[in-house]
Amino acid sequence: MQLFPCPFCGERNETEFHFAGELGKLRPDTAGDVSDAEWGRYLYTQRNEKGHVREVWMHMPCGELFVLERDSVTMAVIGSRALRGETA
Amino acid sequence: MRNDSARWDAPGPLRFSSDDLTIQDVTLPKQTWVSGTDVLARYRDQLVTWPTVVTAETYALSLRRDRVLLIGETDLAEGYSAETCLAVSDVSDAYQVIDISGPAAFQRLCHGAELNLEAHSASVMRRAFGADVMLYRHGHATTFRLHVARALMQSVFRQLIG
Amino acid sequence: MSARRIDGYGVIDRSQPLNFAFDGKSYQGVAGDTLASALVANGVRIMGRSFKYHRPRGLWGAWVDEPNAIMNVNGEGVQLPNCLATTTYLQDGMEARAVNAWPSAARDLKGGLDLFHRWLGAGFYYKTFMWPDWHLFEPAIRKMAGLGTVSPDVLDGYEADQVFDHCDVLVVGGGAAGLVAARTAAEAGQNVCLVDDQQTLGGSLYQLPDIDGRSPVEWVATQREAIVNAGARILTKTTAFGVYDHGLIGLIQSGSFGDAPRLIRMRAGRVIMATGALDRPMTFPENDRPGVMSLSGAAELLARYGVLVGHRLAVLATHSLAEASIKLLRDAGVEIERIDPADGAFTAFGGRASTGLKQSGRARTYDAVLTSGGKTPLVHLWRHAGGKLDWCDTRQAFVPGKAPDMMTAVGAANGTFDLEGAFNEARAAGAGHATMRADTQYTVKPHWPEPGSKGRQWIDFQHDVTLKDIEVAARENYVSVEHLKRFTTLGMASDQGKTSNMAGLAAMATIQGRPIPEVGTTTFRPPFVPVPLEIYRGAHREQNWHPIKRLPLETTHRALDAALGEYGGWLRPAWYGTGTSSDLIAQEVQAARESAGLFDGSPLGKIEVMGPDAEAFLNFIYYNTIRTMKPGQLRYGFMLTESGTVFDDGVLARLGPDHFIVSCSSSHVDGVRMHLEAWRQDGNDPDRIFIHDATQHWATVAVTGPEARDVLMTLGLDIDLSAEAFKHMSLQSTTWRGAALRIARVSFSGDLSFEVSIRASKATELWDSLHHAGAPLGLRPIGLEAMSIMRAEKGYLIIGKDTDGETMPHDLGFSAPRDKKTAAFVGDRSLHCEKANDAARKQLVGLMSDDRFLPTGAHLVKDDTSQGYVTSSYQSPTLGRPIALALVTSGQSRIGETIAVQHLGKTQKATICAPCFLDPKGERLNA
Repeated sequence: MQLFPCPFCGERNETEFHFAGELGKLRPDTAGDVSDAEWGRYLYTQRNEKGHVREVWMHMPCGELFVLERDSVTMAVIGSRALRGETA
Repeated sequence: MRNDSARWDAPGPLRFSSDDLTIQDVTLPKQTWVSGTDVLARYRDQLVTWPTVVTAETYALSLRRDRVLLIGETDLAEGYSAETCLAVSDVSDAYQVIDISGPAAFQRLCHGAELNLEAHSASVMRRAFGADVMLYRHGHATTFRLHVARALMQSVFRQLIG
Repeated sequence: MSARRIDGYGVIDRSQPLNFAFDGKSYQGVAGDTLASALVANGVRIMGRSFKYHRPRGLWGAWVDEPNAIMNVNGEGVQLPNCLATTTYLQDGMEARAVNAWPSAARDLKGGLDLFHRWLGAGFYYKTFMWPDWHLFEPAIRKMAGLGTVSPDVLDGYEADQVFDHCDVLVVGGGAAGLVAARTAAEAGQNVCLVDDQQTLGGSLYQLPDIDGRSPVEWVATQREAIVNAGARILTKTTAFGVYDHGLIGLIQSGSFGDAPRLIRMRAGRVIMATGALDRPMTFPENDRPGVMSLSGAAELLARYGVLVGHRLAVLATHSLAEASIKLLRDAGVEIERIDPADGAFTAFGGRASTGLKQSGRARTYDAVLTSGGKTPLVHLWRHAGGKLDWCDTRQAFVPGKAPDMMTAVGAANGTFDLEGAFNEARAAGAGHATMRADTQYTVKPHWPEPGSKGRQWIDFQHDVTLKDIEVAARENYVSVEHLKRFTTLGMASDQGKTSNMAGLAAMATIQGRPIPEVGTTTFRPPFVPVPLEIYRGAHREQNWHPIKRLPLETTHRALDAALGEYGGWLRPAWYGTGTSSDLIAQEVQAARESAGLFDGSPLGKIEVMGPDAEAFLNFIYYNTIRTMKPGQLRYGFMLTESGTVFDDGVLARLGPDHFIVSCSSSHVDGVRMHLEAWRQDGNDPDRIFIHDATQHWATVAVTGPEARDVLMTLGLDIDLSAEAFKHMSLQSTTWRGAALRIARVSFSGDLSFEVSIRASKATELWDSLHHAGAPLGLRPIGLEAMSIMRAEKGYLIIGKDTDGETMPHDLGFSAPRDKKTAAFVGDRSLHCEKANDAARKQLVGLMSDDRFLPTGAHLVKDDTSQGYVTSSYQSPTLGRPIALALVTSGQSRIGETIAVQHLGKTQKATICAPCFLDPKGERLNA
């Protein structure tokens, strides 16, 4: 059972968190033209990195969506910050 | 299609008493969600976090970056106010509230959540016994007040009394 | 009967005799005994049978390393399989039986299997039972395999607690090093927890004559008192069985035999591992004979339990620590003959009454042959935590190397077998300093297995893996230790190779001519000792297994004799009254169609979305256009996933310019709330949108049917309920008896309906008022089953039932936004991909059949190919015939086609029709 740091609440048990996706995925502007390839990349292409990863998680009790940096091999938590003010 | 009424205990009173644990239901006057960008600052003086011991009758539970739950009467109107930039909802019946006290109270709560009285948290929201709850101390360092979403209170109560 | 209990030794209570039975015979032990020590004291030599060959086996060790003495134990009304006799504390009235043996371990009927050992080596069944078909042999083989027997009775009350805990320093092991480390840390003001798996602290200290001039008992008591006085906690009978992420240690705390143990999830700032070391067996022919046992095990039996394993013993040991054990035993009056392994090949024989040893043509018999091929530090937790192991040539053992962040190893677990060195390490670790492993006085002459040598030489006692099996594995190229393990099952028994792994990998190293560290170890995984499944289940059983959500009106429903059932996580009325359920449900539908039905819709979502950007946000979230909604309006709509599939349906209400209520599906509120919250913070301005899920503040009571308006009028509300003033798909707010009331004119039944929401604590009052006023008009409460039928008659769908993971809104007949909406919305681009434009998509249709019911899930078949399936199917009380909804390939263009419906080998015909069987013009709805 891991401990994740919610930027607002502090460290909490992993059961309170929900994975929301990899960081850095920009939604194409669908009001304009978006090619099949570009939309397909947005929907399905994941970096799936080994080691240092940057992910978006939600702390469910408080609803905070935040950036979690961690190591997917050692499970070490590197840090977290609120998603606000970032383009994810 | 089958009748499962007997599989689930009918809801009972939220009261329990043993040598080292007392659970008592609590009726609060009014509970109001207030959301807004600077809402924590506005209620700074009444703000309850973990593991604060509340002594006042009227207080504001810090829930998230931009939301408090006001306990006590308020003259805020429901809905969104463009003037105050606050969103307000009356949720007086959304949660049921119990006080858990006695020497075994903290240990009992630790059956359903990873708690640490030394670790400060800006929010009283947690997941405990499988439900989203609000947990803080009220009146006394060993009395814990627990708000549980109404639909899950029976389940949390069952687990608390073990 | 040479083994016996003697006076002057042990930490047992001789004044408390305990009666127990083993394999049907009665014995007596004393308080503080384990089953094993009590049996040895009673002269019992054979305590089990081996797994494969059913060879008689005696005791090897005195604690967790025991591979042989495994028992089914009955005590305090509980029967547990596979208890280790060495770690099961004796209780009065216990009845134990050796596993894998019948009628007893001493006289096992399957003992003859050993005669066939030549054909039963590693991999035998992979090869032997290939022809003609493994499945012919499987049942018989499965029946013979396995150890203990699980009690067929449910163990009532055998329920394990689970609890979270935390500390600064967790010390694992209450021997010399652990006690000193715990004391040092506690006296430095740290929050310390010391755990030890035995009942009495002290580890192997009782084998020593004295510590700093004090008796072991006195010394342990002093440490214990100091630790407690410094504010630390001590948990005995508590095993640290695994190290998990972020400093979480799994502890299992045992109590009395009849009580399930407790799982403690201990979050520790750091861990001091003082777990000690085990004796390593020596590999020689017939080394599994009863009476061949661990030297330190025999010493421990004497020191802790006052039990001597015999008065004439042989000792085969290769290391310097053996001297202390020998001295302990000799001081107790035992005659000991030391055998030097270097004097020539040796072999064991006998075992039932005495154990023989033959060396260089000379044979002698003893009460027991005590062996120790060296010490193996217990490094399991170290490896769980990701620590590295180093090979130490001096110690001929793997010792802790590079440390995991939060762990320090001290004492014998660290390869520091000398007491003074262990104390130094413990003091340093307790104070939080790094420890340096000091040079050791310990010496060992390696005596590893010799591949190619004669005789049957056991490597893994419990799983009957011999040196020959390792050789076979090497010949067949299973040379990686992980392959070796799986081919031979070496180390896969319930002891997980505590005594066997070192010998196994040393043998493989010799066969391959590689050094031991190059061969490496297999992976150490939790749990360190077997733990009952109850600790993983904890309180998650029966009603607590998956907590169900309760309605504010549940008590009212129960009083009305409702049959309650689980619907989307909520306990809801399925129907009311006693009798044949299908009749009752049909009567409810009839009443609701002809006069009025009263329905509890409280779980319907009531998620408020507020703020200056609320409108734009919801316009983005919904498939439908939201911008055009006026305050007071309701709109039915879909939320999609980014893949364009339908995520949820429901009614959106607009209360004001910046205030909306999302009334999502009853079973889906938590998911929708998270969906909204994620989009709010990602890609929108969270300072201009606020989301309050107030679902559980409100109870919702729906009145439906031709009389619905008249029923509602009885509340005496100050609003005009007429069809002209209060149109379908609109909302009004008012108060009733001082409580806010929201009335939505919206329908799931297809008839005139009002959904009335009020704060939960007033729900009963509202329900009772409506019920009372409506009863004379023919109103009756209706359950979920009646409502499900009514909505199907009208062709209203249920997401997840009438849709699947590929359904897009245009498959359901809702294509306008896809064609016309210009603003961006979730899932928009996916609605125009190749797959979305496929003419052969499955679309929602209705099905009519003459008289026969169409089973839900039945396939619609054409040219032997499935064209889709039935999603909902009912006998319609209103129409007097079966109706069904289905997802069918190109369904919307196939109205009128007759198609075969196939289910469980039977076929019937049905006609595809529009998915609306009742009031297609909406006259009833808009009445």
